[in-house]
Amino acid sequence: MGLDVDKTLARIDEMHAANKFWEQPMWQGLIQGTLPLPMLKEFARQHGIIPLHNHNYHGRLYVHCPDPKWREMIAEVVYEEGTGRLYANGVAHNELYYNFGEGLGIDREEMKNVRYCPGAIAFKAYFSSMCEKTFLEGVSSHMLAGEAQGPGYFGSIAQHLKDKFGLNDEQVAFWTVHDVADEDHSGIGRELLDEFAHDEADFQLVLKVVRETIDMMNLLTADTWRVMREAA
Amino acid sequence: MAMTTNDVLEEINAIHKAHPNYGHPLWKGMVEGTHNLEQVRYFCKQHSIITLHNHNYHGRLYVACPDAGWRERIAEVSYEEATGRLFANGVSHHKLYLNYAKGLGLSKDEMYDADYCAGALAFKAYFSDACSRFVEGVSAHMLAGEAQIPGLYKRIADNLKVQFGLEGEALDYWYVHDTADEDHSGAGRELLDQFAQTDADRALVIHTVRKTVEVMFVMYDDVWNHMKTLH
Repeated sequence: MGLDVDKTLARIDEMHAANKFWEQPMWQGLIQGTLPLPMLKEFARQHGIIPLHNHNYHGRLYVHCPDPKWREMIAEVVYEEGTGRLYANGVAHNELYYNFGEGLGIDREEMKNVRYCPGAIAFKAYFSSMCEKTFLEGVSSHMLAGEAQGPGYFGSIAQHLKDKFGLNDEQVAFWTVHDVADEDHSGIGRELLDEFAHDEADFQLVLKVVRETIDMMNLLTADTWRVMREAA
Repeated sequence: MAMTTNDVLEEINAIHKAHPNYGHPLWKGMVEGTHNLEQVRYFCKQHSIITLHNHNYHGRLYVACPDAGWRERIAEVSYEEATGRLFANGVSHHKLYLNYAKGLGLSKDEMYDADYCAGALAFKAYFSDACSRFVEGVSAHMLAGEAQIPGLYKRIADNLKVQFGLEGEALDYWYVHDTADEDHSGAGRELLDQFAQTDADRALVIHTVRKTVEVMFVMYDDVWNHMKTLH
């Protein structure tokens, strides 16, 4: 039987549920606060491939968005990331991340000059390219796959960072802000599919993109975990 | 002798002086009220290659920007264009432009189905490409594209009011941009100091400004040639 909006969203939920990212050792260690400082520092360096390079992702989505109403929504993301003036007390998101790095003893020069692992480089290349494909593919990759995992767990990561390593509120703000900022993308998913997915081929494409993006994020996680263990 | 920031800015001023928008019959007619309604409608459609396609330009600039401080500034431009929440009472800039078109009797569908002339299409291709590289993009965008707007747009709005009875939201596009695009010489100075430190960089900035102004005039010439047939 063919796909429709409800069935497609249900399949996406199933993919996320089956993926159980929170059970992957890297995320488990972060969520449960069991990682030693050297591993945590290596995670912070490698994870910068997302927050310190984010303009490559949502910026491309903005350029390729064909609809002014959706562009308004993505411009909010651009503005928030670039300035932090909507949800982060005027602290741009790259600064939030530098603050996190500094809390762990990584200064911003070191953070800017990280030698990224191949998984991180591959993720950046893949995600950048997806965000400049058709708008349906870009948003599916960005919002239905990329940002769907994390909210709900980031608060716990922030708490452990404070308890175990003495980071202050400013230094964990990257995690607390994103625990809220990325939530409730199911509503966006419905709007996206209603507006841009018109037939079976479109729904299948969305599922393929979400599956691929989750796989790519797992690749990033696995390679990050590898270099984290080397750093231990 | 090495070029200083002042040398470059003077050279850019000279480029604009040699190619004043107000010296072109297209813009002169908009200020002096010598175009008929059909001509102004035609220009309105063609000029939308900038206003209704703007995310292709500053969006690419945002992606290509290597510096977080400048990215903050370009994020403001993107947000303002798409939402109008900083300077335009929450009216996004494409809506400001559609309101102007509506004042001239052009529907939203007509605007989105506009057949662009070759000069307009060439401008979009050139400008999108230039905005994909940061120094060239900022030079093309701020030091060339927007440099001649302040002062000119207000005069156009004043004339549209008198000549065609446009008022209120139909004129906001012109008034908002007359203010929003001012003082880019400050931005130019910062850009040059921060990103154009060698003679080669500075020559690239000048070359880009010159080329951009020339491509804009190719667009103006082509639009004007079509407008002349609309009596």
